[in-house]
Amino acid sequence: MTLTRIWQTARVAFLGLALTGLPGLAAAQGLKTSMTYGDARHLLERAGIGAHPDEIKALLGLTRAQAIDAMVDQLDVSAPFNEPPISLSDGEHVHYWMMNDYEEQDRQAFRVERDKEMGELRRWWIREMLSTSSPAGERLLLIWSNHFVSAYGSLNEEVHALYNQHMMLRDKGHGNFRDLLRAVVRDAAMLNYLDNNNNREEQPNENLARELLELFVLGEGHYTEKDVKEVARALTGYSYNRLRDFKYQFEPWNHDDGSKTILGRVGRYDADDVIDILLDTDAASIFIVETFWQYYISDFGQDRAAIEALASAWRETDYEIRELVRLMLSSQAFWDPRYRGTIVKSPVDLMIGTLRSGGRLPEWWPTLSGQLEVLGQHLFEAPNVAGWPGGADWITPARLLSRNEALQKLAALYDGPPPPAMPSTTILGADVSMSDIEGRAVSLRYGAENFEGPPRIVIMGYKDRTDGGAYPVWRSDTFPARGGIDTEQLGRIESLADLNWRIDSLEYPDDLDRPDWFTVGFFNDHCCGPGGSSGGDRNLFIDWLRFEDQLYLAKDGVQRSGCPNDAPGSLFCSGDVKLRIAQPLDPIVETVDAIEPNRLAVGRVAFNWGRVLDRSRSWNSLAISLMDVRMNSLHYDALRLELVEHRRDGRREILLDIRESNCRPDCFFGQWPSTTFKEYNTGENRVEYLLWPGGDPDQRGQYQQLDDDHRMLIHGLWSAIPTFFEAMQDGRNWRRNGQERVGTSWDPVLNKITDALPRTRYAKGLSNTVPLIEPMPLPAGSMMSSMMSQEAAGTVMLLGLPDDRVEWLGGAGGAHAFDDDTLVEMVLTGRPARPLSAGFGFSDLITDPVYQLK
Amino acid sequence: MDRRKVLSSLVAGLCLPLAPIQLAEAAARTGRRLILVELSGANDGLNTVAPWANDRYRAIRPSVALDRSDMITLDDQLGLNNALSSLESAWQAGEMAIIQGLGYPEQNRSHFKSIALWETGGDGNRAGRNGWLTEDVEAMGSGFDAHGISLDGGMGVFASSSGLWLSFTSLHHLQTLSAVNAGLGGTVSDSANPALSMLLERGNALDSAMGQISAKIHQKGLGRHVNIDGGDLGRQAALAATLINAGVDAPVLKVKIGGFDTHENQRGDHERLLRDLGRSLAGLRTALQLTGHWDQTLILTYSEFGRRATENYSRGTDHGTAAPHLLLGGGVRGGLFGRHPDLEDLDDGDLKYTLDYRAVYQRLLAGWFGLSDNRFSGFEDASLDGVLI
Repeated sequence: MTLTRIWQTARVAFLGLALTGLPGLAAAQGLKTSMTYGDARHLLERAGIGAHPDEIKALLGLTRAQAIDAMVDQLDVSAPFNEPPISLSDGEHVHYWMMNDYEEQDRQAFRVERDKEMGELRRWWIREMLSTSSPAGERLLLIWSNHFVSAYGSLNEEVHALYNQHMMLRDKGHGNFRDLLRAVVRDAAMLNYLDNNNNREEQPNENLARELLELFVLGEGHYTEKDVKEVARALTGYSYNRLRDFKYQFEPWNHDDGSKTILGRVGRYDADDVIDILLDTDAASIFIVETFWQYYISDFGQDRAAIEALASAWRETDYEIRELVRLMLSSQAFWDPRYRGTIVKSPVDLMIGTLRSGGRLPEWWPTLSGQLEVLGQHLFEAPNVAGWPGGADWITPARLLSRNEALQKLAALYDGPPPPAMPSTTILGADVSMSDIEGRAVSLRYGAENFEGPPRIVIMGYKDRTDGGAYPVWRSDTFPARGGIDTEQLGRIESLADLNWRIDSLEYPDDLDRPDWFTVGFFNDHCCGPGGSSGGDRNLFIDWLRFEDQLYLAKDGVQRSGCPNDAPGSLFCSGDVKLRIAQPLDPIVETVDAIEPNRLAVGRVAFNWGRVLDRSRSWNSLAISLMDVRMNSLHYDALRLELVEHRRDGRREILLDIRESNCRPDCFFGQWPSTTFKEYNTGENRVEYLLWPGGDPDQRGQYQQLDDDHRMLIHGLWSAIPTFFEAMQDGRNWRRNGQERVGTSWDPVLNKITDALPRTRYAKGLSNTVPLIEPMPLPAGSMMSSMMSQEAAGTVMLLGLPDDRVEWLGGAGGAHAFDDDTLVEMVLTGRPARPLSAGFGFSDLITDPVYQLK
Repeated sequence: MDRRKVLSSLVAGLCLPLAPIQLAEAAARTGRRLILVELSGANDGLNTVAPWANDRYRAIRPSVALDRSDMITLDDQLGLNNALSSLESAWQAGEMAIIQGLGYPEQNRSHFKSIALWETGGDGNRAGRNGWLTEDVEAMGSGFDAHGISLDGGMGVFASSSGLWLSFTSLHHLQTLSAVNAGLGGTVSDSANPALSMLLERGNALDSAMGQISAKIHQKGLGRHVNIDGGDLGRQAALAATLINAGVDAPVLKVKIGGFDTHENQRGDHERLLRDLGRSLAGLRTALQLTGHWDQTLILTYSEFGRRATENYSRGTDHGTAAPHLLLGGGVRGGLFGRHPDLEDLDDGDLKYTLDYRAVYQRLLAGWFGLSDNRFSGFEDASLDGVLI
């Protein structure tokens, strides 16, 4: 522990004693008060999400100070309750960096897959908020997510980056604000969202700089336009790596390392210096306390003196966020009756809070993200960088109507006796997880839109006849799609990601042969509500069907329906999709085996960037992107080569340049030759392979120290350059305006390479100097796991318990164990706005206007 | 008490004075309305209003360019895509203005970011937060059934923490919602709590607005509601006509047609979209002329940006910059306004905008709603003189 750290810790400890003496902070007396039902509800709703009787009872009898400690102890939610979607969490990610080279249709398919993953991420977070026994941590996460906004719609489908950001906020949101800010200015999603990846010395972009000052740290009025420009300069070159890992990457060639003047201080500042400068002001802490005030104390009205006192106390902790939360909750204002009920509940409070408070999950919980969207809080999709304004904005007229409808629906849920356990409608199981699927079953992943009832699904199996016809061998029972979205109430989905995808499994008789193909369809199409299909429509969406070890993707199927133009799998009219093309489910063993030894295989080649070759310049380069590079035991998911033509000692040289940021996984498995070049300003490793052997001792070492496989890989890559040039001309990157000119200008270099190669060391040892260029077959199993919604598997928890073990607060006529006054105090923040009838229950209270406030 | 009957509405008939939205001293009500038509996905301006006389047009668009026979001649330089032929009568009648070369500084090419700029009146240097006309229209007072109604569900252009901005995607929605809030009476809440007061006041105002709107619709009867052949946009246009004909008093309505992101094989797709657009607007014009509302109606199209002047290698066009937009109405002086961007002076394959789109906003707020001192006063541009009668 450093001295500074010890000193800070000491100050924190000291602060605990000093707290009560500060003006505007709670009197010690107040914090010794015992918690009432109303106090507990207040603390839980403000610092957590909802307030269930079990949570309330756990706080009764504690002093306020003890109850606050209990909440503050929950702030760390870095270890999630439910497993995050595997497609996002497994550290792998798809080829975003290659997407621009795809044809429009493939790009569209790529986007749809990412949108589905986004839908999974939303549902997972919702499930976390429902499940967690640390609601205070989820509350803090909601606050930071709305403070450091990055909206998916503006991120070019980079859902993996957004997932990383979310996990970063889980990790750092309860630590030190300075560390959090350092992580934010290095966060890939943020750098993309606020265009800092385009912030370059020669062409600065002020977006991140402006928001750092205006929305993240200082607030308006505490900086000048000149400061914005100067901070933007300090942030130049802060970018991220799409090819490798969506992590921060500093680009020194774009960074302006000149002297800047920021808030009157002068120096060659970088982002961390800027953060330190901002945190040296009082304005920063005041601004953050004001922000927290809005979430913890009131949307309506602030107390300047209290805010300044809180800010000053927070500065004393050197910006420990945990202490800030403790300060907010310990403040006199937090407990002041004046401020109770002066926060408008957000849609998350309204929906998720009510489900937590009431103690039972409806079957439709996976459609909550659509409900939140209707109410104006589409998670990960804040309207702009300022986030949801909250307060009055939650209760605009359009939203008031939707809130009213949503509360009606919730009230209906809690009106009667507890709902039965989720009905299992299909034969073998509903919501099966991957491991539950037995060999001889037909499993179907689908989503539905309901209108006056769900689509009814039927699956058929057929065998081919020798005369070209076919006959059915199996027909499933017709079963209703579950989890469909009620289009009459919620409107039509905007993307497939918004569907509530389900997997149902049906038994296939043991004594029946396997069919040659399947059909999946529905024939009870129903449309429309008044005013057209937006007023209601019944549709079925098929993702895939699995039988035994085969996976049939609907997109590869042939659709027969009344709407002939729809994509296979999207049934907007009665009809079915015929599934004949299947893929083996087991992950395909790497195709390395199938390639002859010492031959290079590449999945796809794309032109990456390059300038027109100009021999008057000393350095010309052109980059080629490669996907799935395989040779012998090696497999690189992504590799970017730079072909360089440059002048050295009066001669022109041609070389291949491989650098650390251009390999995934790590180049040479991280075993860089000892003579590797290091970039002086980033420390990045880089090696060079000259076309004509020779070079300096470092370059020779970079070749000689390679293991056999890597040396052969370099041979393969060099020998493949002429083929790469040809192959990359098929992609969109090449065809884009002006790029052909670039390519053509390199012809002289290419001719030299073609001439020289057979006589170089790179021609040696290869079984075939021409590489194999063909896409690597996707392992169907991994594809399936990426398509599967995680939330389908396992027991759904509520408040940390299986939901049938949580006390049920619903039921008419006082079925619960509380007297009237206590029940009101546990649910409402004040007296109800309209009279209650005798025997009122939870459902009556949540439809009272006062319930909209906390 | 039967909860279902009480409907437990948050707006449960609260007897508070009905004055939620501050009455600014601004413009008196004019009875005029504006219908905003979003062309989502970025409409290709060069193939909407095409410079037929310019050889350069065909040179940079060898496969995407319209032939002379594919367009209606507007003047000795420009032609209107034939797919918009339904609008020819409006053009002939002098009720359609084409405002050319609209754009803004520091073009952003993200669909989401750029449409947000058009909706909030921002540019590449600075995004707006509230809808571009919300503040000014709210300042017109609260005597409307609603300040604005979105018929496509999108509320971005109406983003505001105050005002009566509603969203209905179907009449059905309108009916069920109004039923939920209908006729509740009885309770009072005193409140020193500002949040509760606001909630109750807004609920009350909403209850009353919904009551008025649904009463008007019921009075006219829904059985005879308008049909317009123009796909989903036609359906929204018909809904707009139904609301207007029923006497629903809202200064702004908003509709949307999507699909303009024509990166590949543009010609057929783009023309289908323009056909729906033309038929919907022409149908709306006819419907409103029949009921005498046309002279009080102004229709404006907008889109996130135009498309590149040079075509791409997939017989389509990529995200670009400037584009023309249409202004229709009984109160419009038809014709071409502004300047067509110069095809000889492209910026890396892109058109240079010739008029800041906010000049149009300024003109509409000042000239149509009489709000001469509006958010966009600084953008006034003489090239739009005379566009409104």
